[in-house]
Amino acid sequence: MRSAPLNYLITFVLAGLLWVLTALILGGYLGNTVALTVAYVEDFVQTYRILVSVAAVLGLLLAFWWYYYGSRPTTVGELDRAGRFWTTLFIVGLALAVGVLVALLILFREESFTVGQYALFFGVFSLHTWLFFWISTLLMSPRTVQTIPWGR
Amino acid sequence: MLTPSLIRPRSILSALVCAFVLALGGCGGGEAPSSWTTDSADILVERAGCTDSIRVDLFLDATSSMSGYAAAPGSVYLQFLDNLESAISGAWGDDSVRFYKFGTTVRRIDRDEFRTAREAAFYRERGIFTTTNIDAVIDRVGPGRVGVIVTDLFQDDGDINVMVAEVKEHVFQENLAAGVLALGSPFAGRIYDAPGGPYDYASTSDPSSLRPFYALMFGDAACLRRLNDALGSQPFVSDEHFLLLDRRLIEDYTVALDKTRDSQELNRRASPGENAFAFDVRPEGEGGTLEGVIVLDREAVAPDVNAARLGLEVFRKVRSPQTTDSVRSDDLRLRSAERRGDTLAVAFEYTLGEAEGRYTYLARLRAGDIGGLVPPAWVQDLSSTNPTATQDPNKTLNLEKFVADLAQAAASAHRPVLAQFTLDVTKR
Amino acid sequence: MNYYIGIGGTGARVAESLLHLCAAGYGPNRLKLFIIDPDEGNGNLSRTKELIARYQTARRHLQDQAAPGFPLFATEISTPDPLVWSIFEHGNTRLADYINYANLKSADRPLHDLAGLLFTQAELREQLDEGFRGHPSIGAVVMAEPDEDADPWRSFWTDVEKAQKPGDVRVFLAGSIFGGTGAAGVPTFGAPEMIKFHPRAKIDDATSKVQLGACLVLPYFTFDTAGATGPEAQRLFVTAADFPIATKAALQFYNEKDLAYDQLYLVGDSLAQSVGDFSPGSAKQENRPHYVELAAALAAEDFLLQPEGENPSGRYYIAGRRGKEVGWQSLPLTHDAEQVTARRDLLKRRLVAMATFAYAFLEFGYPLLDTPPGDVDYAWHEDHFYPKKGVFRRDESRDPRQPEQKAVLTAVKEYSERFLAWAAALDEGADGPVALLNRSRLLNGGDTVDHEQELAAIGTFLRESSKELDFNHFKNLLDQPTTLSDRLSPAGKYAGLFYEAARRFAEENYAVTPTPGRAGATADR
Repeated sequence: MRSAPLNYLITFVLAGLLWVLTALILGGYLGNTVALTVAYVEDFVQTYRILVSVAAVLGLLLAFWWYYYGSRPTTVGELDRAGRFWTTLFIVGLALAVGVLVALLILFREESFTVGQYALFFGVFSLHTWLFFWISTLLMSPRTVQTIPWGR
Repeated sequence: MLTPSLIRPRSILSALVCAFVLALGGCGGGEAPSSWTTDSADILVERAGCTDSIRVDLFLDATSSMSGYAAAPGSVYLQFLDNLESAISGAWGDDSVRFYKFGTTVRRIDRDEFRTAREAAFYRERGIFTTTNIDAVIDRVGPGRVGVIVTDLFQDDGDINVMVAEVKEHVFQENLAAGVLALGSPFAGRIYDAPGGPYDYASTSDPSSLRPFYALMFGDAACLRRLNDALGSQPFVSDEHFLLLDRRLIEDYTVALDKTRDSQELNRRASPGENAFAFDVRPEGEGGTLEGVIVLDREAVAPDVNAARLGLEVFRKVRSPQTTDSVRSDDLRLRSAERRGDTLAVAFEYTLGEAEGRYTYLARLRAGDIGGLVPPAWVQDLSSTNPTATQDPNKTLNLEKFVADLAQAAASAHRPVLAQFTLDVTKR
Repeated sequence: MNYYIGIGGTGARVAESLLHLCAAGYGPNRLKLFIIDPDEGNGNLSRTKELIARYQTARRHLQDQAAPGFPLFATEISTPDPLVWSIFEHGNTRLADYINYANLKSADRPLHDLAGLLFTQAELREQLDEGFRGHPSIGAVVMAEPDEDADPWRSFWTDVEKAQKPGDVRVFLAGSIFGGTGAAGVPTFGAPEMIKFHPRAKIDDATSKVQLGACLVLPYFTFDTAGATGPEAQRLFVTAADFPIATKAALQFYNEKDLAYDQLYLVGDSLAQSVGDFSPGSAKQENRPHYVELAAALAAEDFLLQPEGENPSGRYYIAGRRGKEVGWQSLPLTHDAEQVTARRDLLKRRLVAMATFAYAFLEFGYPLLDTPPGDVDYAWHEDHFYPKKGVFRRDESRDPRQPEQKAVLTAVKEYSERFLAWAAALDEGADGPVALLNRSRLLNGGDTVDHEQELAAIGTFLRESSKELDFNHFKNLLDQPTTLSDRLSPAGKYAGLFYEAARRFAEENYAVTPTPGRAGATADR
């Protein structure tokens, strides 16, 4: 599970499943439940799905980047640096989640979502970015760097 | 556990792509289109539809008052009669025109006798010339033929009521249309049916001194339009003085509908099609206010519409969980309508007291059956309740009432549809 | 049952090479070993004793639960107690004392006169507990009557008596022909009644339970005697100048004497490699390892590893180098021509793997134990030595830093230091004749080459071309799946993991891949 291409494939499948859950299923649910002042439901759902997809692709790229970095032959000799790199990617993931949420809020600035819905949006974007990165790297980091995501 | 050597990446990739496509297909389809079979063409003015073979019954008012038209030099009346037959022949390849003289009674005449209408003797036949009973003529109008009555429309109140009732029964209720074409003609003679007694009148070279006469037309609306178009080639015939009372008034229309910002229980969905709208009622919600703008392209010869008398007719079908046939519904109600030129600003109140499900509505905005249609201004201009030698000498007795009653009869019989739209509502 | 008996300083040095071969996995399954040397203070001997102790400590933890055939410390080496038969019961013994020369004069005058004829007065008065100082005639006398009731001979003869079949006990002796102890011991123990047809060994007059082999190490080095002038220089020690004469005389003796050796190996070299300053005996005599000692150890392996039932062929075999250079191709490995290639490949594979292991363990493995386990990020370390126990806890019982585990790894570390020093010492630099390992890529002065400064050192220490893989590659190999048993002690597993990685590294980097077929030493893995 930690060796290529299996970790790449499983991560891709995991991202796909999450995307189906959050973009399709949850997106459909939100389309039915979110109160929209001016936006069309379809526009909201489509935009939401695009943003989730963007988050998912970027989250996937973060994980793939880590896999690639972790599987380089030289990485084992610089695990401290690898730890800093993982932290950087994690923070980038967090920033992505916030950024995508901000993008959603800007695009639907005329809408008034509930606090719960804001939390849900952030949760979904987090699930695709930093949480996804964390879980994926926790379970499927190349063996050389498998301990890094667990922290010390 | 799988090892890299045991898996086939291409197979996995193919499966993923399939799943992705299926997932997209499953989510992107949206709602099925509404099941209403009607469309906007059902309410728009039909230009086509009149057969190429036509039978026209031409009724000529042979009462004494009409002789003044024939006697005046440069009579438009006579020119109109002269061109009428040729206009009919020009508009239809296969025509059959029958001529009638009417007054108290109706008598069929031949073409040669019709052509004697330019002579004063034509209007002095015993039993014909004393009074004008148009209702007796209307009795002869029916589906499959066009009736044209050339008259000065001098009627008293009782005549009007009877005549309108006849038109309503024999024309409007038979899905036929009525047209009123007003023409101004030089006149020199006596006017007999005025409430204040007969008086003599002679027009001058001043166009405003011309005395109007009318061609009342009954028959299929498309045929009447064709006939009007054919007559329109004559310089003295204008659409501006033609009124067509048909069950269709609108050449085209557009409806824009949206929910108000404060209707939080409603979410709008993308329009499924032209003049079609979709909304979601959020869980626990019941509805909200919809605002619309309806732009009407009313036919030029059609009566105007009274926005204050507009009515909304709504039908509803349940699409899920169980499909039902359409029934009248008051889920959608017209709250207000305001007219600005050809634009109607309307507001609807939508309330859905039903459980979760998918509903579709067909909403028709109709002219009100009482006062819904408004005669054009020229009718009032040409009308007088008491024409005398000194007041309104060249105006038509009770024309306004006649046309208004006729429009009222048309409205009550047809309830003309001004616009229609569908509304798909899903309650989650 | 296999016995190696090292005689004298050279025998001890050959024993050291033999130990290193066994540690690398090039040795018999079991080997008993003791040394004959009156000079118990000999530096070479004390080094060998210390080495054996470390070998045994390390092996106990590595091999007890390891899978069969795991090469590292594969040979079970046991030693009697004491390890060394020092011949004399008391210190300060002189030949005159030993043969009771003073009393002979009155008790047996003819014998007294014979002794006076055979030995000079100087020889009779010489202190013998620092060796026979190149005078085998003295040693021959004192070694002819070992005490069979005291170890190491008691254990030896017990083992021989337990044996049932002819040749069940293989005994290999090694000593120099040019010194005192070896030159005396090899022919002495070659006498039929000493071992081969000793009453406790022989089955009948022509058959013995013992298969006897020996290696006579001919002169192969010089040492500097410039500092040994004055009265000391006049004493009875041997000098390099004495080697040719002594050798010639000895060989003539061996040729004429009817010795009972089934196989006799003669190993020498004409390069006259210097092994350091002269020391007449005792602790100062600790000479630098020489590849001839490795060749002698390989002779012992050839003898001990040959299949059962192998009878003396009566043939002579000769192996020599072509040209001046001593490379992997020129080491003498076996008299069995069919096995030469396989043995050569195996030896190279095992020694290179062992050198890689020793270097990596000293440079990285052992120092890593100074880092608290929670601060180590390596996956292999976490998996095997600091595994998760539930969600938030760790199994600290697998930590090799525990004192008893650390002690074992310290033994491994110390053994590795010795091995690396031995292996590096064989190298004399780029211009030297020995082209096996590159000392400068392994050691920098007394320390190992810093692997962080010289990442590629581990991949370039062989004096031949390689892929030049670096230390990161070695670290990555530590993460490879292992077949090591989970029952191994933490220390055993720790060293085992490093050995496995070293073996893989050697195979990849130095192309020392296993060849099909069995080469005779401990099985390949």
